[in-house]
Amino acid sequence: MVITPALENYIRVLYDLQASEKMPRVKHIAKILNVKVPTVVESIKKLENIGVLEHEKYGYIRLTPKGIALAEKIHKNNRIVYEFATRLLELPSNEAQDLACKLEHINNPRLFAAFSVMMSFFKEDQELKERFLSHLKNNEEVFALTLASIEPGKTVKIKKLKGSRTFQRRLMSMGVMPGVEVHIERIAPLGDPIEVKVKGYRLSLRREEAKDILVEE
Amino acid sequence: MREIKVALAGNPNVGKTAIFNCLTGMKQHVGNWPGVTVEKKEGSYVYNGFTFSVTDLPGIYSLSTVSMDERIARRFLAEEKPDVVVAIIDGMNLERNLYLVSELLDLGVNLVLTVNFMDEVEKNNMKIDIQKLSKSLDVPVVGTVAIKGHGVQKLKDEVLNIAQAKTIPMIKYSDELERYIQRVEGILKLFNVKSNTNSRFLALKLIEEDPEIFEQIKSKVSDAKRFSQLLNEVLSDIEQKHEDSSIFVGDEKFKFIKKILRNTVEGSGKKSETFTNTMDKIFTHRIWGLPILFGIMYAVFQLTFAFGGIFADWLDSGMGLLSDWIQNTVPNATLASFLADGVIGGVGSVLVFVPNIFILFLLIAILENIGYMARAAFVMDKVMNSIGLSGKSFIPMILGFGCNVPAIMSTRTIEKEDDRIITAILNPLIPCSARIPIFLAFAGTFFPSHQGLIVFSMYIIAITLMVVLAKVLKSTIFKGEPAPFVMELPPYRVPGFLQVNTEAWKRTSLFVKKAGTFIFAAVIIIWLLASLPAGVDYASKDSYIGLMGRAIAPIFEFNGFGNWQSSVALMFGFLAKEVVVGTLGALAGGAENLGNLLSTLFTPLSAYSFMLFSLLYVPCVASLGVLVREVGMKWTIFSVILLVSLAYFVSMAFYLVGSIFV
Repeated sequence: MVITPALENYIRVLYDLQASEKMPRVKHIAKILNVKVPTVVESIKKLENIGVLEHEKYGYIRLTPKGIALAEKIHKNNRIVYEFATRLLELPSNEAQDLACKLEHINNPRLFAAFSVMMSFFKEDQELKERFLSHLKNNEEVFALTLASIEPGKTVKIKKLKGSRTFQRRLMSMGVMPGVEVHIERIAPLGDPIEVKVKGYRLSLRREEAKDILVEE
Repeated sequence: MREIKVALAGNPNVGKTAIFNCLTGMKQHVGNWPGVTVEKKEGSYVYNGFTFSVTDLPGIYSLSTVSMDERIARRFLAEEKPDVVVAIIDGMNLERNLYLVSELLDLGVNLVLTVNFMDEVEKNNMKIDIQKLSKSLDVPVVGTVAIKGHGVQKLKDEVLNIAQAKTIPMIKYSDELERYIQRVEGILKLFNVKSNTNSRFLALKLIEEDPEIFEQIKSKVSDAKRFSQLLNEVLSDIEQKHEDSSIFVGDEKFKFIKKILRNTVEGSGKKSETFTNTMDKIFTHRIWGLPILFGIMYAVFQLTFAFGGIFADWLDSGMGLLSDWIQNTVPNATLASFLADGVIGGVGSVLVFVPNIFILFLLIAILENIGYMARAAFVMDKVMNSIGLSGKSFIPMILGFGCNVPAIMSTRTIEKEDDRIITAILNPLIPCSARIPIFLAFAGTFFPSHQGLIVFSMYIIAITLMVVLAKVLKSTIFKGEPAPFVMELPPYRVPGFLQVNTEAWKRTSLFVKKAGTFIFAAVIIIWLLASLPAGVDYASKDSYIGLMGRAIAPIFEFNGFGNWQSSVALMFGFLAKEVVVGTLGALAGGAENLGNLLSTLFTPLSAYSFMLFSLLYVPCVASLGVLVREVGMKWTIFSVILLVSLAYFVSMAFYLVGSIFV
């Protein structure tokens, strides 16, 4: 049976509690994970079946050595991602934590090894790090959210303009620039262009051009 | 007495042309789509003993150089140095409009600010504190309703006042930006750059990395490399703190504007917003948008031809009666022939179509003033894009149905040079109103029961050929990326009855004037050539015109109209397309005889072939003149060769293939 991220979270909580020498109970776990008691009972049963924990009826819960090993792996994954995100990607701590909590469940030792190796590489070679970061900057836009993918009726904020200088200048002189809110009014009958409202007036843009306008919701 | 030079500047669609008309009393064309004023227009007025010469500049969003319009406006402002610049802004959209104003202030001009559409501002329960606005910008501000002429008197006063002012206001930006401006100004001084544009403006444009300004200055300095290097130092300093230097400047400008607006404007344009929203829901509807567009075009077509035809018939009978009356009452036979055959026959055959043409112009004026043109471009952009052009090319197409001359001029709003050239040189293919007389005269004679269908087929053929040629040109000579389609969609406005009628009449009167002058002159020449040498029968094959015609006629043998009359008509039709009918009318000896003459010269097959030829060949002298000015001699010659050979071979192919079946 596959251990889902939700189940792994139980293992992590149990591990943390055990590490701080507290004896975990169902009620206690329900409170920490913010779920209902029956849900916890059911999950614990599942985990017991796989053999990662032991549960005395109405009593304490204890991780088996297999469970402890799993918990330690998850914890390690979490730390690597967190450090990678804060130190290298310079993400704020809460965002990094969020990312780490999502990635820690991935069962791919090679991936985490790669994160870890990259960190030590860049520690040794500052120039390499700079180059890596500048490449990263140029490439992250490929994955960014653009005005072209926003549905009509939504309002988004412009983060950045891309494309030719002429194009950027044209947009700017019409008040379309970073920090400005754009409301997507509608899409033309044939699917292109789109009509947006910005600074109280309406503007028509092609999808191809809207792709050069990076936005955030 | 000194003449005071005044320039009107502002965003597209803010009512500049209306203000211009109020000031000068001239009747310029007013529309509701961005880019109505496609070249600068000039006029003048006298006030308090001073003469003011006014230039109406095309609508622009900034003083950068993205489109040809903007280049024209910037060069004019920077180089002609008008004494006063009247910046016109839309009261319903101050924030964006003030961006251009900030650039004008950077340029260091004597500025009067005009806030137009004050009636809409009031209707929407908005409040603009004109006094505060004036104080915070340090320039005189006037509120106007240009279409009704409100506030224009005050504007004239302020223009006169400011023309005598000594100090020029300036915007002070943040200390940081001011420091960079100073540094760049320092560099300009170091290299001893002499320019008739002030250094503050140049510095700001250099910080914005404006390519034209940069090249312009680089070519002037002695050590271009060192200059670029010093400038780059400033730019990289900026980009250490801000992501992009031009966005940094833009940000500063909008910050300044927001600060001003906070204290001067109350409320927002809810009401007009709701109206525009509702109209847009209909006109740009996902499913109904396109059918509505075609419905509107079909309705325009029907009203122009079917409805207008009723009046045209009345006029036609009237001309016939007039001609008979002249024949009977004028004693001198030569004079009678001249008046009846020449004048009534030639000019009259053209004038009978005034109702059709007036209705067409009226409908175009209504569509323009409502604000529908921009929507048509919006709805059609994808289609236009598939032939390699943008929705902006669709507006000149529609205008071309009225007259190719303004249509070719309106291509200036198209940002991409290649697209602009294609749109301009193919525009003559759009059947302008001058071709209506030809279609109606021929269709009426040869296809009386299918007149509408035959005329409609002309439009379909012309548009199809245009689309095919555009696609071919775009994939051969003008290869390249599609142009961006960043276009403002103006708010819908209910057009004034008087306004659209005045406009339609103004354009129709040009047609009438053309008939009275140009065509009249052509007709006299034709009448003379048809009556000489002395002794020949009027319009016989031995008259001079007959001899000329017979020399050309063989060329058209395989097109089905190898008669000398058609050749002469086509030759004179080069002056203006109406002359084709005018010539045939004069040769027939009167509008009412035109049908009889045509029946003897053509079969239905060759008539249609002749219509095709007239549809496609060189438009007229006027449109060629505009083409030369807009795209240059090379492309004009290209267009002429393309169109003439297209006309020749399409009509020949039609006639030869058709002959097999008939």
